[in-house]
Amino acid sequence: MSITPTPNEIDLQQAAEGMILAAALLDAHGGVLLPQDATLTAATLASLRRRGIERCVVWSEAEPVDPAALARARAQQLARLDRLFRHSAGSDGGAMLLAQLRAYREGAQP
Amino acid sequence: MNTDDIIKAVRDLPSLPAVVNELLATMQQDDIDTHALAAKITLDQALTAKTLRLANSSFYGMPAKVTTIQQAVSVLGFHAIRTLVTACSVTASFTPAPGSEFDFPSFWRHSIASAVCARVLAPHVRVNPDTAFTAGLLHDLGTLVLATRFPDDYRRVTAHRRQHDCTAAPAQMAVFGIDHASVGSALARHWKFPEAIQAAVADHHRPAESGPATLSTVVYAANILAHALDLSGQEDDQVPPLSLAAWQSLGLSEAAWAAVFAESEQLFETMCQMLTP
Repeated sequence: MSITPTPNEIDLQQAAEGMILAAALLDAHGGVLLPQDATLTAATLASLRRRGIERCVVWSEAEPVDPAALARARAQQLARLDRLFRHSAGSDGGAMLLAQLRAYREGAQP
Repeated sequence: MNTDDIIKAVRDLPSLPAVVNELLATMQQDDIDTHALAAKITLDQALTAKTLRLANSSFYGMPAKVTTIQQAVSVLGFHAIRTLVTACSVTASFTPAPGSEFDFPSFWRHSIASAVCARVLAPHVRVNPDTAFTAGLLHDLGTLVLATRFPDDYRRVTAHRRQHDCTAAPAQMAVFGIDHASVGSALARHWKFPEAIQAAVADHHRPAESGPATLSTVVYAANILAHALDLSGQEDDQVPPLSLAAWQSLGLSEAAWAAVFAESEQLFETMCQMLTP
């Protein structure tokens, strides 16, 4: 099972060396302090603290999920879709939207 | 109580703050004095505080705190601030009547979900995302007028819906002889929202039969998408029918739809925490 990194906003206090920025850090005037995907180092962390930056967004890896629980959750989501579309699956556009949503729910990462 | 009483109730609703009316007027202007407008927003302390709280939320991913409206305008842009200020003042305009059975939290969740979906869909059909967000947020406000001004009659709407497993509009027609789309568009007119927004509110259950996608198409589809993504949190929610013409005029690929679903779900949670009154 693949592990997908997701953006996670944290306090700068929690930020540690080696974490990778999921969004660029800007100053109050919109100037880029550090670009997206920059790796935080002791030096950059100290510099950010000096500038009074309070929060940053870093990539964090989602925990692997039990496959059986995942399958149950998917089945529940698909049943819920059928219930939501109970009066509209017959409309032409509705049927197409339902098909796209099914594909999305079936293929979505946990 | 008849349709005239309801339209009168809309006219009796308080106006939005003057500065919000000025901001709305700029939606149809080209040359805007953003500095003067920012200064006017600052005069309304409650609005300023709420807008800054929004601007500092993770939705905008700002690393450093903005402390003034002027700063927020320079960092986020005037259009974003106009949308935030409007959203704040609209959501602050209605308070639940004591003893009301109306489900306010679900109502706002659906309004915010539709606003977010409209904002995400808009760039795909070259509609302004900020205008789409505002129109999406307003689209069901007619329901709020009916539920807060006529709470006893509205109980019958809720009962009718439960009994017939139908959407709000037919139940409101049965009880009031008018539905929330008409009431909402009267409210949008009363509050002097731009005509395109008034039309989008009026037509959000009535898709165009042909032609390219407009703001109205975006709001029509966003309402359906908000139900389809199950964002309001109501167990008996249902997705209204979607016309083939609207689906085709949006013209999104499979990958684009998947991206729209994901982005809408992501933006929704953040926006909800900030805007729920």
